[in-house]
Amino acid sequence: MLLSPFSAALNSDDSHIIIILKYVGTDNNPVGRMEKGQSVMDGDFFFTIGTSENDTPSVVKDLIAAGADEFYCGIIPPDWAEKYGFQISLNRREFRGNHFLSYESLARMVEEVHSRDREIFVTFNASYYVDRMYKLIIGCVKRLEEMKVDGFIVSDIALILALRKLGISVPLIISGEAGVYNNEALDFFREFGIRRVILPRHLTVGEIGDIIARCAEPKPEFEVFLMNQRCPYNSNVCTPSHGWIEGNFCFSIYDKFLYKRVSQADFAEEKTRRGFDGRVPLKTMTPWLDNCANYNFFTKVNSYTGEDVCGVCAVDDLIAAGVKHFKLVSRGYSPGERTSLLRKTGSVLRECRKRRMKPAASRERLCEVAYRCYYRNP
Amino acid sequence: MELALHYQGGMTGGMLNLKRFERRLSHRRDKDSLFRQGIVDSTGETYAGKLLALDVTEANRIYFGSEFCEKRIPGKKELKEVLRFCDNNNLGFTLLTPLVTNAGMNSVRRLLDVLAAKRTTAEIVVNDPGVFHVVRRDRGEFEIVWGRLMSHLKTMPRFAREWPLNFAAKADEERQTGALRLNAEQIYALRNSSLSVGLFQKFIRKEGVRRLEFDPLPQGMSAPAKEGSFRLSLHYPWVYITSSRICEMGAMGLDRDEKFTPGGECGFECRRYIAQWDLAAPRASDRIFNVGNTVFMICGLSREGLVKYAASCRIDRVVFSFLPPF
Repeated sequence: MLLSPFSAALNSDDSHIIIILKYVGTDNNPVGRMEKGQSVMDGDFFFTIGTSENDTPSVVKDLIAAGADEFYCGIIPPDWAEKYGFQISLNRREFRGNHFLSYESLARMVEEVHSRDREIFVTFNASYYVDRMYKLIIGCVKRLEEMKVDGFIVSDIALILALRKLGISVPLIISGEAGVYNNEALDFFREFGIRRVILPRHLTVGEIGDIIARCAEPKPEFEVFLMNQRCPYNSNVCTPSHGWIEGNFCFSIYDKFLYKRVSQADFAEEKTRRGFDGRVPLKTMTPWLDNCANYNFFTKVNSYTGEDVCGVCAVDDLIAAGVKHFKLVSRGYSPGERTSLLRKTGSVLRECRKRRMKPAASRERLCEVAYRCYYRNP
Repeated sequence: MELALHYQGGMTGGMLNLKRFERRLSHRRDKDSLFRQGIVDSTGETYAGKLLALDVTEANRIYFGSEFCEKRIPGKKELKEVLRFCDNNNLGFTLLTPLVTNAGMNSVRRLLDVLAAKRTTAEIVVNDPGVFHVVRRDRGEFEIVWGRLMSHLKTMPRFAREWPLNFAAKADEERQTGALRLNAEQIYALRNSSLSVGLFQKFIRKEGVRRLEFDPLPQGMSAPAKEGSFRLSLHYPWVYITSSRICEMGAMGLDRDEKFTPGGECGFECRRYIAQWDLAAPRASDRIFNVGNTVFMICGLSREGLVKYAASCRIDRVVFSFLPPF
């Protein structure tokens, strides 16, 4: 059994890959997807990759050559940075290196991406914005509208209301941070007129398929997370700040002491004076400590191994379910890391297709541990 | 000030009286285990006792349901029993609902049907935009409560040591060392949320929201709306931090290969266990607990602090849960 899909890709025979490329791919389209503008058909999909301040035109060219179809980014303009810093961010990234830092640099990127017939979306997916922020936000979205960015990725209902009231023409993409876990939530956001929904990280392939199948026509576009940074917690209801402190709350190492719970019944009048000992027997402590160790590994996969969470083996199932857009979480990554990520993802996808991997239906599995996979459920 | 109790089964009418309940707790000899469960503070004082400083003694409302996990949504039979308990004790009723998938939404709908058949008035706490969508459409006479998961305020558990109202002072002090840089705008942003936006207030009010719910926060909180436009609840003392469909505790009984998948199987370990997390960080809360798929910290306010906090935010209801609200 192979340890990970990346190992599979890296160990695969290069000559075989070349044969596949000759069969389905081109230099600009190494995994053989349909070109933009062509009719949508089964197997058509798009990779969405992050971009930020220091990306030059040649980086964009390299990313597209490696398989990027769409770009997403965030911006922290100077007036925002001066007032709120990066810790209270315009989007869900709290560090300087994850953003565009001026309108000029973002405008150059928009022009570059459009000149290559690709699209670029800007994130405004912070959990919330307070009333005093709106003057800066409105100024920002109007500048971006003039730049003709292709979409705003949003999650806060108040912001969506404000954008609609302002008559902003930029299409809205509902962020994974908005928490569309069911069709009623989808219908709620659809009332505002949306182009796309990014489904949250914590849905199974079956649940994604169910949401898309039940969605009334005309359906919006559906995007899902494919690579990297699978939050341990549901990001739409996760409240600790990522700012101000090294490492996220969820990545911290904790000593976790397990106790038996008392129940409300233990406090009922007839049992009032009964003492309670919360100690847990050794036979329970052993699986608990083992569970804690595994959980630490789950939340810190990237830092321990250099490899992150992957969902490539589910791409075909997701496409069959109606997903067309796949996010490779990568804001703040170096150009080399992102190019490598795209190429690896393409290679793994080819490997999966070569083996006709159907993880939900087959006992054969590329990856040893379920929690390193976005979409594998036991 | 109104007092509501979070009901988790096994409750008797006697527990509705805070004074009697506090007296009973204070007689118990197992203070150490009560401390480990987050029921008393390090001095042995009960949180129920601290609440008495708010001049509330008798609960007049029950909160029941699941706030964090769709697997813990109660059945129709349980709901009917609790409604009977409320009727017998002349109590108001509030149904808690969690974040749900399509499967969980079916369970919520079943409860709403029972509620519609049995009650003419009730409150429904929404913590999912989809549940909000359903309830606003079919709510009848029910009032919608904007749940604490929907307020999105930052809880900052790693800056909780000297909370709640001295966060700004702490920031000023830290600014001297350069470790933590907060200005007035940042503090305002941390003490408020989307609920400060007039357009949004108008929208949710039009859709039937009458009450907003919050946790006591380390950094303090500003009252989010003009007086009279919404009523405000404070959950005490269990402060919500984060939650997940990937349940750490629920994976205890699973093989490594099966652990930590969304909505994965579990043995309802959350009914039996509670875990205390010890994070060796000087400013972090030392009272962080994990039950099932959710992480809480205990509000460390003194009696005086609690009174001051509630008054500063125009809180008119405390939702008390002496056990984790899970």
